[in-house]
Amino acid sequence: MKDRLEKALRQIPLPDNLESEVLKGVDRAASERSNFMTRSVMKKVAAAAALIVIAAAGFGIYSLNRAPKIPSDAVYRFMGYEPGTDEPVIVALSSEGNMLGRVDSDGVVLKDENCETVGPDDVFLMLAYWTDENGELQCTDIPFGAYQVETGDGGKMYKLEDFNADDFGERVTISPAEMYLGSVEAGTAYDVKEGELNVSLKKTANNSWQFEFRAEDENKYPFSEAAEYHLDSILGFTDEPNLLGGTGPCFLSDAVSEWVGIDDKHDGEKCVWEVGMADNSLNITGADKDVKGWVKLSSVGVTLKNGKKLELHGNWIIKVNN
Amino acid sequence: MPDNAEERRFLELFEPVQEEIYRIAYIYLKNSDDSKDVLQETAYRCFKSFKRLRQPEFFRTWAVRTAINCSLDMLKRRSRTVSLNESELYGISASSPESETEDRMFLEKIMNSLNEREKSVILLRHLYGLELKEISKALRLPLGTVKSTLYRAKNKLEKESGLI
Repeated sequence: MKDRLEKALRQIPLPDNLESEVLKGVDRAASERSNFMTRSVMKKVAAAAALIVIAAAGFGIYSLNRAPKIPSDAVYRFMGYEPGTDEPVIVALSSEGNMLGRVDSDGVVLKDENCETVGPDDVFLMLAYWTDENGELQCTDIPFGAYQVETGDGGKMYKLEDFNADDFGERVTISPAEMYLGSVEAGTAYDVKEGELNVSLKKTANNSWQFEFRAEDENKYPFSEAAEYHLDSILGFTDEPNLLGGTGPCFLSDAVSEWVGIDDKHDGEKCVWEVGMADNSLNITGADKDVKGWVKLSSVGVTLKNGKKLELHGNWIIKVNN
Repeated sequence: MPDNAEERRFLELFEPVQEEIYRIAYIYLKNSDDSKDVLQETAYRCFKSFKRLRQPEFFRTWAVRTAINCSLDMLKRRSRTVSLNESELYGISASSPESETEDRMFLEKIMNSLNEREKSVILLRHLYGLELKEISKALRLPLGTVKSTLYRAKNKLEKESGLI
């Protein structure tokens, strides 16, 4: 891939006098730097004060975005696992859809198909499966990060006891055994404050789901006047026995990877979904009857006619045509 | 000519990457004038922050990340879309070796099939070998978004060109 990219880039012809552009940029920076050095101490004091304000604001945002603290001894119960019963099965998948390994309570070093130790960047998705008290198979997505352990030989080990409950985010069962809502980041890049907005995800019919958007101030966020939307679903699995049997998942296409005008009905590339927006809701229907199993929705977004955008990045795992 | 040691040192490091930066900018902006502006802006921003660069071995990656951000900023400022000047892009004669034709096709796919975010993630990951966490930080994107964007971009290139 690197080689291909390098060769492709070399196809772009170069103009003359690139050096002069570089020198212009450097001269401009040098000139500004010189001016900056002559500024008064008062300017520095003002800048320091501004930094303090920014830091305070940042801390406020950080505090707002922190997930509720969950006691560590509640981790297993939170996942639907009661100590003494079936332990959850953790699987790690590569971006190519290969299963890299399984993690049990003793931990295991993940290996690729060549038995080479893999690093966290090679892991595309980690999922936890377990059986609930009704015998129903449950599944949830595990965020990356807190459970990585150095093994001392350059490998990475993942251990259940290293999981941090905070990393699971809030799980809300929308429909029993069929949908999980993971961590949600509410439009931090789009001038949307947490608390002013409410987004709910619910199953509306067999094989249909709905993201509903509500705002405290409907004049500020008129979701009934959406201009465009998007929905990303990353991948899916033919069915859970297939996955648990170790033959690996089957990847599906994106649902709507680009922003789509509100008046357009958009079918996924493989017609996995039909997606449309009406009133305050983004409606999703599984379209391909041949597709069965688990599918992960990764983000949903809406642009309003007043220019405001809301984009949620989450981990919603739903079950289609089952 | 540079008039002090710091400028000379900066230009020594920047000169080997200036062509690369121009070409990276071209991937986004698709025309020479804007790409030259991005090159100038990248030199400006990098030199302003040059003292803060503690590990010169990362200069190339650092400069490219800056160039990508400059390109994205310029795209945001531009309201118009500049169409691809094919004669400029495909200035090589039609009798080029087949391998070069493939390279140009691949370039075209990158430029026209991927959106800005996908271009950035593909370039940073596969051309410069940044880890996903580093890309997340560089582009100010959640890690999950970087992963899904990378998967989507590779999928597009694979489907549309069959070249990877």
